[in-house]
Amino acid sequence: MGDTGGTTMKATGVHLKSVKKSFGAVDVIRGVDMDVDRGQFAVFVGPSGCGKSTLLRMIAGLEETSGGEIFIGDRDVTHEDPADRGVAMVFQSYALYPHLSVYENMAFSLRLAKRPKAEIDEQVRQAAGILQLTEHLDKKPAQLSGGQRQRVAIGRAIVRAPDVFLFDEPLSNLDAELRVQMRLELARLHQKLGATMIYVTHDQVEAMTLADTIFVLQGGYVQQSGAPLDLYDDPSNRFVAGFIGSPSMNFFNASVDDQTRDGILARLTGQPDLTLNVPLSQPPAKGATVVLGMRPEHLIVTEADGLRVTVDVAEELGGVSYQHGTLEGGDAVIFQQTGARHGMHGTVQTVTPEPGRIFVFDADGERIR
Amino acid sequence: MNKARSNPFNTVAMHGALILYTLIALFPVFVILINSFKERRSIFREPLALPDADSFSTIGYETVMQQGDFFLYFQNSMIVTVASLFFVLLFGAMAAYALSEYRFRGNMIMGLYLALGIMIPIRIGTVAILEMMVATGLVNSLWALILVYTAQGLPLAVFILSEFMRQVSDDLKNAGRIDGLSEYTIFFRLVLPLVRPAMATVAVFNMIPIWNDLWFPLILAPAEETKTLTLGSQVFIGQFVTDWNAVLSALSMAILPVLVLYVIFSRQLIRGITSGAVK
Repeated sequence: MGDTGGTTMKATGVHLKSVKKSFGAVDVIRGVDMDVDRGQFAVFVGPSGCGKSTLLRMIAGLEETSGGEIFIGDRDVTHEDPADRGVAMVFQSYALYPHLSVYENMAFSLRLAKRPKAEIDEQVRQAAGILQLTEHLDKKPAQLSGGQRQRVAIGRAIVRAPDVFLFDEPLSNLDAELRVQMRLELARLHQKLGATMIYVTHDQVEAMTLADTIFVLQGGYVQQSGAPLDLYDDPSNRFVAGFIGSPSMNFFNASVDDQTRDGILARLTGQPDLTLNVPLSQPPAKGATVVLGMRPEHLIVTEADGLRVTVDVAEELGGVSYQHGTLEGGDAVIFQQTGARHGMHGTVQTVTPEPGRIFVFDADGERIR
Repeated sequence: MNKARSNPFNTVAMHGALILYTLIALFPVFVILINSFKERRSIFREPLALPDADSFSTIGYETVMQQGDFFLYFQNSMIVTVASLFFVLLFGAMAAYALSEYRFRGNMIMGLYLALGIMIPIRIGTVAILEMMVATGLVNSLWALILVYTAQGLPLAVFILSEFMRQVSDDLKNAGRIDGLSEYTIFFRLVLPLVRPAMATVAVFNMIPIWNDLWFPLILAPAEETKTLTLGSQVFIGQFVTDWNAVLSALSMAILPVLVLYVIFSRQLIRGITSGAVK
C-alpha cells in the first residue's frame, strides 16, 4: 500500500458547541459539546431514539440546528447547505441512484461539479480499485449484493474527497458475516485515507472495534466520551456501564453496611450473609443505597464465599460460555467461563468478583469512585 | 409455486375468464373495424359478417379524407391530448412532491383541497368556464381545451403521485442534497424517474377521457380550425341522415393513436398498478 496517491484526504476536525435540536415541543438533542479531532474515527453509539442519527444529520446539514454552533475545521457551518460543508455521507439504505450504473453513481457529484472528464474517470477508477469494485462498474445497483452496494455508497463518498465522512448505520442492512467483514474493511479504509470519520451505530461491538473515540448518547446528551477501553474500564455512570460491554454488566442493589479505611463494606439486598469490600476514595455514608456493577467476565467461580447463582441457561460458544442464572434474591446474573466445557446448567455455583472490578453507582446512576 | 396456482383446472378457468373478458371488451372495436370496410347496405344487412369481395368498400375512408379537414382535426386532438398530459404530469408531480416532501403550514388543507377536485365534476362549471374563456379571449383556441383538461386531470394526478412520492427513500433525496443537487434537480433527476410507473398510470387514466371528449370541444372550441377528432366526426352524424361508413371509418382511425400511446405507457402502467402488491 504505502503510497496512497491522490486518495489521501485532507482531514479536518468537527466541533460542536452546545448544539440543540427540537422538533416542535420535543427536545431531541439537549445541548451537545464535542470535539472530533482531524483524522479521528468517532463513533456515536446509543439505543434507538437517543438522537445519534439526528446529531449526525445535523452535522451533515440535513436537519436544521435549533441552537448552538457546528464547526468543520474552523468554519462555522451551522447554517450552511449540506453540499457546502465538505461532508460525504453513507446511508443505511445505501441510497444509490437506482437508474444509474455503479460508475455513474460514483461519478455523479464530480460531474455535477463540472470536473474534467479525465479527472472524474481517474478518481472513480481509483476508488473502485480500493473497494474492489472495478469489475462491477457497468452494473446497475439492483444487480449487486448488499455488501457491494454499500461499497459503492462508500466509493461515492470517497470520490468526493470530503473533509469529513459521515456514516449512518452503514452495516445494519447487511447479514452478520458480511457485517464483520465490512467492519474490517472500514477500519482499513480509515487507516488508508486518514480522513475524519463520524460513524453512527447502535451496535456497541462496532463502536468498540472501529472507534478512536466513542460518544455514548442517551436522552439527548453525551453521557460519556473517550477511547473504547476507557469507557469499558471506567464508565462514568450506570447507563454507559450497562451499554458498553457484551453481555452487559450485572447490576445489584446494595446498601452501605459500614465505611472501611479505604472504602465501604457493601451488603447486597436479599443476600444477608454476604458483604463485599469495595475500595472507594469518596465512600458514601453508612446506610446509603448503592448499585454494584460487575461485568460477566469479571465474575469468577470460587470455592470460598460469594454470590450463589442457580444456573438455568448455559450459552456455550466454544471458546467462552455465558452462564445465565439467578441469585437467591431473584436478581438475574450472567457470568462468563472460558476454556473447557463446564456443563453448569442446573447447578448452583458460587461466584465472586475480581478484586478492583466492582463499579459502584449511587441511586441516580452516577458513578461513585 | 403454490398448489392452487399449479392446479390445471384453475389455470384453465382463469384463462377462460380472461379470454372471455377480452372478447367482450374487444367486440365493439372489432365490429367498428369490420364494418368500416363494408358498403352501406352490408353494414345493415349483416353487421357481424366480415367484409368479402361483394361487400368490401373503402368508401367510408374516402369520404372522411375528402370531407372536412380530417388531418387538422387529428392534429388538434393530438396537440390537446399531449399538451394536457404534459401539463397534468408536470404540475401534478410538482404539487405532489411539495405536498409529500415539505412540512409547511396548510400542507394538509392544501392536499385535501386538491383532492376535492376528484369528487366534483368539472362539467358543473361549464358555464363559468365558458364565460371565463370568452372574457380572456381564449374561446376557439386549443389553449382553452388544454387549460380545462389540465385542471380536470390535476386532482387525481396529485393524489396518486403524492402517495408514490412518499415512498421514495428519504436517504436517496438526502444523498442528492449532500451531492449538491438543488431541490429542482432532486425532483427531476431522482424522484421523477422513480415514480415513472405512477406517472404512466396517471397518463393513461387522463389520456382516454381527453381524447374522447366531445363536451368541451363542442362548447369551447367549435370553430373549424380548432375542431378535435371527436367533434369533427360529428359532421357525418346528421339529424336525418347519418353516413355510417364515414362515422365508422373516422372512429377506426381515431382508435389508432390511443392504441399507440397506450402501448407506450402500458408496460409502465402495469408496473404502476402492481408495484407494492408484488414487492
